[in-house]
Formats: sequence, C-alpha cells, structure tokens
Amino acid sequence: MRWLVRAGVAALVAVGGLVVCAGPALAHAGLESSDPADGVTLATPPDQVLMTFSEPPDLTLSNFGMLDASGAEVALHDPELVEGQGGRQAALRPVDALGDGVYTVTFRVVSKTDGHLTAGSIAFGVGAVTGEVVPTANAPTEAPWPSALSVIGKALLYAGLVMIVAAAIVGMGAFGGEVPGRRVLLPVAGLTALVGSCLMLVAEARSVGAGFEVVARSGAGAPFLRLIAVCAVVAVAATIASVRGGNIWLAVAGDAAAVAMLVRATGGHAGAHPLQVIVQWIHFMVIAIWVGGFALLLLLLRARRRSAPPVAEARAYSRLAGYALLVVVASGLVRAIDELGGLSGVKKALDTSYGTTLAIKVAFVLVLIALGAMNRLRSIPRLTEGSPLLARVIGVEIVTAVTILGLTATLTGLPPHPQPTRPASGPAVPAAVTVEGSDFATTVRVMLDITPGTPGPNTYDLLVSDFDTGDPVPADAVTLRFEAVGRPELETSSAQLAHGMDGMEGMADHWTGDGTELSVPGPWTVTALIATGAEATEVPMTLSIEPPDQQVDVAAREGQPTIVTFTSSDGRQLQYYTDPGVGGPNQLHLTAFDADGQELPLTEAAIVVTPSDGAPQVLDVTRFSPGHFVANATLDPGDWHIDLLATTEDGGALTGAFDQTIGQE
Amino acid sequence: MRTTRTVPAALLALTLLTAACGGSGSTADGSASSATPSVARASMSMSMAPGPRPSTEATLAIVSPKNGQTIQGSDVTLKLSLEGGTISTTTSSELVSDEGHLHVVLDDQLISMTSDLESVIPGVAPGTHLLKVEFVANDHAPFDPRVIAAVSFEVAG
Repeated sequence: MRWLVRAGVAALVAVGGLVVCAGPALAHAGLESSDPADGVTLATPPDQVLMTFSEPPDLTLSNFGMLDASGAEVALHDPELVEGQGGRQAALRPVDALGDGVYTVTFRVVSKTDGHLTAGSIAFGVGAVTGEVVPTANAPTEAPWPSALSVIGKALLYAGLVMIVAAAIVGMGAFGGEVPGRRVLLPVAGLTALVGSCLMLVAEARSVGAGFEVVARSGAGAPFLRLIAVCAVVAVAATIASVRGGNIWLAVAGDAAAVAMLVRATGGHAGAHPLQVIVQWIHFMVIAIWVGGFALLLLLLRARRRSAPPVAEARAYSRLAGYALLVVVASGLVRAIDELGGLSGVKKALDTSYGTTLAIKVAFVLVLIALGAMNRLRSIPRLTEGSPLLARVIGVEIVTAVTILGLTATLTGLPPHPQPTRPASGPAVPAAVTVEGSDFATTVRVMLDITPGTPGPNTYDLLVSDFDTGDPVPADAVTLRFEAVGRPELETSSAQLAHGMDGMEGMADHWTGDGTELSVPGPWTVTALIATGAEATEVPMTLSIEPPDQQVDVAAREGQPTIVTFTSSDGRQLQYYTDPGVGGPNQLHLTAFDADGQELPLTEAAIVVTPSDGAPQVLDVTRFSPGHFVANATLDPGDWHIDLLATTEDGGALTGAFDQTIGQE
Repeated sequence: MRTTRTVPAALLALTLLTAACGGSGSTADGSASSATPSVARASMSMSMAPGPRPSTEATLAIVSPKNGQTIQGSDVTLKLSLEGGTISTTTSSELVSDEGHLHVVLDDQLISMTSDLESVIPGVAPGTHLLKVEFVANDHAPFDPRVIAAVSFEVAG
C-alpha cells in the first residue's frame, strides 16, 4: 500500500515534470505587437513602423525590410530602438512617404537576451488598397530549429556542469567527500563544459550569419563570452581539484560551475526577470544533484565492487535526490507559469514542435522517475545482499538522462508558441491559387489552396492524403517552405501549419495556417514538408503569385506564335510568346514595355517552365535588348505551365503565369 | 498539375475566343495555333484585346551564305536583302506596318537581334547548319504573315 502511495506521488511528480521541461524552453524575441498593427489599412501613411518584441532585439545582428505590393524594396533609415519599453521596441522609418498600397515588413531578429533568432513579417495597407489586407495576428513568428551544433554545445555544457556540481554537492554531502574517478572525472567534465560553451558561440555566429567578431561585440554575444570565461575557470578549478585531494578545490570548482549555471540562466529567456533567473538557476542546480548524483553513485558502485557496497552513501544520495526532485518540480512549475502563462499555455504549447519534443522528453522523465522509485524501494535495500540491480538500473538511468539532456538542449532552442489555427467560422473566401503535387515516390498527394493568392498576407489550406487510397495521412507536423524563383535576394522562409482536425468536422486531412511568406509577385516554389514519425516527405510545387487586377490578353492566329500580354494596373506590360510552340527546339521571348508602350529596361528576367508531369525548370535567358530576353529551350509536346518574372530598374517586378499546350511537331 | 476552380471556365472562354479570332484556313475546332495557352489564375481578367499582328509587304532574302554553300573558317558573313521593309532601332508596342528589325536563328537557337543587313556570325562550328532570319515587328514578335528567309550551309572542318 505504501508502495502504491509512493507510485502515486511519482505520477504527480511526472505531471510536474511535464512543466519542468518547459522551464528552460522559453520564448525567443517574438513579435508582440506592431504599430501599424498587422492587417490594418491606414487612411494616411505612417511615419514609422513600431515593432515591439518580447525580448530586446540586437540591432547589430538583426535585419528589417519593407516591400511594396510589386515586390520593390522600400528604402528605410537604419532601425532604431525606442527609449523605454526595456529596449524591446524598434522603429522603422521609410526614407520617403509611403504611397497607397499594401506593404510587407519582414524581420529577422536576434534576441539580445539569449541570442536566439526569430523571423517573421507583418502587412498593412495605406490609402486605397486593392484587395483585402488579411491580419496575421495569429501567425507565429518563425523561429528556426536549433542547429545540431547548438544542441551538441548545450548538451556538452549541461553534462559538464552537472557532473562538476554533482561531484561537489553529492560528493561532499552524501559520499563523505569521496568523488569516485576524481582524477579523470573532474577535468573531463570541466573541459566538456568549456567546449560546450565555445560550440554555443560558434552555433550562434552561424545562426545569425555573422562573424565571431561581430557577434562577440554585440549585446547578444556578451552572455556567450561570459559563459565561456566562467567555464574556463570551472575547467581550471576542476583540473586542480583532480590532482589535489581535499574539498577546497572541489568546492571552488563546484562554486564556479554554479556561477556558470547562473550565467547560463541570465543568458536564457529568464534573463529578463531577476527572480526568474534565480528560479532557473535553482532548477539547474537541483537537476545537477538529482541526475549527476546517480552517475556518481554508479562510479562509486564500480569503485567498490570488490569491497563493501556503499549502502550508506546510496541511502544518503537517495534522500538527497528525493528532496532535489521536489525542488525540480517546484522550480519547473514556477518557470512554466512564467513562460507559458499557466497550464493553458502548456496545453497550447503541446500543438507545436516544441510540444512534440516536450512530450518525448516527459516520457523519458517518467522513465527516470520510475527508475528512481525502483532504486529507492527495491535496488538499494537489496544492495546489502550484494545485488547488482542498483548498478544496472543506474546504467539505464544514465542513458535516459543523456537522452533528456539532448532533448533539453533542443527544447531550449525552440519557441513554445502555439501554432495558428484558422478560425472555423467566418466567410468562405474562394481560393485564388490552387496547386497540387506529389512526392517523388508517389506516396503522398497534396493540394494547396492559397487565399487570396496575392502578395502579402495569405491563408494556406493544405490537403494531405495517401497517393493511392486518398485517405488522410497521419502526419505529425507539416511545414511549407517558400522560395521565390529567380529572386535569390529573398530569403527562404517557412510556415508551420496546424492540423485542421481539432473542432473542424471533415478536416482530418487538412493543415492550415496564415502568413506573409509570399511577399512578392512572381513564380514561387513551395515545398510541403510532411513529418510522419521519423520519416519526412517533401512535395515541391510551383505556383504564381500575381498582383491584383492584372489584365491578360491572348493573341492566337494561324501561322503565328500565340502572344500573351500581361498588363499591370500601372499600365506596364509583359509580352511573351513561344516560337514555334510545337515539340522540339523553341525560342521563348519575354519583352517588357512601359505604360507608354516603349521597351522597359530590365535588370533581370526569369522564365520557368514546368511540364505537367515534371519538376520546374528555370531556363537560361539571354538578353537581346534592354527589355527583351530570350530562352532557347527544347519543349516536349504536352501541357506546360510557364511562369515569367521581369525585374525593372526601379526594383519592381512584372510577372505572368499561364498554361500552354505544346503541340506535336 | 495546376488547377484553379475557374480553369474550366477560362479554358472554355479561351477556346471560344480562339475560334472566333481564327483566320482563314483555321481547322474545324478553331485551334489556329497548335500552342494554346490557358491562364491558370482566377483573379486575372483575360481577353483577346490586341488587334491583329501588323502586316507587311516586305520580302527578306539571305544573300550570303547561299543555300548549300561551303564556308571556310568559323566566321560566317551574313548578308541580307530586305525589300519593302524599314529597319528600325525603336522597340515599342506601338506597331507600324513594314517597320521592324531582324532576329537571327542558327540551328533553332536565337543567336542575335540586329538592325544591320550585313553582320558576322562568329564561332560557327564545322558541319551543316540551318540559318533562319526573320524580319519582326518593333515589339520583337512576328509580322502577319511571317517574313522568314532560311538557308542551309556548311562550315568546312
């Protein structure tokens, strides 16, 4: 009966563990609000765009941009931090007054607090706007997955510091000053922490795309440098403690490791709140006692395998670990409430990549707690009989703990923001662009609806089904990756979609989301990344985003190539024809004209052709005059989709897209 | 692979328009051109607004190289004779009958655009080649009827 009560307590502890894991995961420098707000249309142009982030952005490492509806970049003054607001508000000021139209503001922000990278965008309209400016308030800012280097660095840092702290506290507190394997354990742990802290800086420099010098001088780089400095002290002290007996240098190494954990806590998201820093630091410390302690106990068991088993030490550690576990849960709960906004926040977080990783980690934490309970109730009492059970269970615990360390390192790089869910209610807006695709292995078929299908805010509705049966595919996560064809200056962006099944009848195979990734007109490659278990399937699709109100004229005559002319609302034209338009060698002509009918000089042009059963092909184009480009290409008879993009000298873009049947020769 | 919910209607409209605009000699289904574009966008308006292509009485001939001629060296001198047409360096969508410039196509590859009746095609590889030159309108598109001259020649190895 007593065993059952303890099991119940363990289960409660496990629930606590769920939020424990959320503790260090934190929130990145996400966009909290903007003025103008996302999706609004203003009668008069704003002098500036104010963007308030959840953490102070480091402007030396961050990028901001503004595009008009044609994709032309709007000239901006250097962004400035607004006084007050804790340095969390940045102001973007256009050089010239904004004219009527829809504007998309993109940002790629590095948090000064923790160095994490977040990217996203907002859109707003000015004056007479064609089409609807769709608010994207529910859309999350995009935070890329932490790099492998970042995860490895953090895991090494935590592992090294955990062992140093455990050696100091458990060694002196429970093992009577004995640290098994001291000569090797201490220097290796110290060095591991130092290497881990250095790798974190390298990963940070890579993630923000800046050199070490820039990162080191930036506000975001300072916490990394402080961490490296303290870890160097840890490594030195631990090395000295390994060769000199006694507790003094062991205590110095332990203190230095505790300081390193404090520095790490200030460099995380808790850094914005002193009280949360202390709670986070306590959280780190007790985890070190709990997890690092059983690794030490295993070493002690091995060291005494030919002598009397360390029963007293095991019992002392067991008591210490029990108290540590309670503090782990309590501190984790405080951190979770702060970061996620309570249990409702935890529930929402479970819909994210963060939540998936969290759930896996909780499962491992449950295993660890169960193994701890087993040790306390079964393994330690049997130790007096010389049973090897304790050593075996601790071995499993160490493997589990290492896995949890890796998952924690991953979690700290992920935002716990919930994914956007398109409201089930509201008017049904017809999809402006629909595109279908399947993966190379023809296992998955997708159909993507994009509404309204114009530059700026759009909603995405992706239907994912089995290629053969048409049944919904039980995907775990679906992401759309957006690449503007022929526009290398535009960074690849992505949007995670939310499963449309929750509360939406008949939506089991739908994944939905919002975003402003399709920021400019022209051809785009959109790749659906469908994660199912350990497998990921990629489905590339090509589509065209056209400016609103584009006029298309088609001239087809006997003995003539069919000429297609796209006329923008400003009167500029893009003329195209395929000559001769039958299977075999063809010349694909693209010419731009201004509103007066004169040839319009272009800086570059792109022609993308996509056969009905194949992948998009970006053709080599040759300039024959300032506004006239030609691609020589061999086209097979059949249906082709043709995307055109012409970039004008003022940075604007003329685009066109249509389907053409290439006849038999 | 691309569809829109209005593509069937767009295709139908395009087919009807194509039939309506087909010149004499159109086939029964009205598909005057073998290449039939369909606009895969619901939000765009579409029409056959442009009028007929500009006509011309111009005649074009390739004076050199002559048909079947064997040429020594890799540089081929191109001499053209254009009668009834005016060479213009202006490029515009405002089209004028009999006024335009020349597109040079070698072995099905557009290699140059010129306003000169005499030019050199450099670096032609040994072997037999098909040379086509077209007198095109000021918007880089063909006249109606098309004005094309073609010869086959050989570059000695």
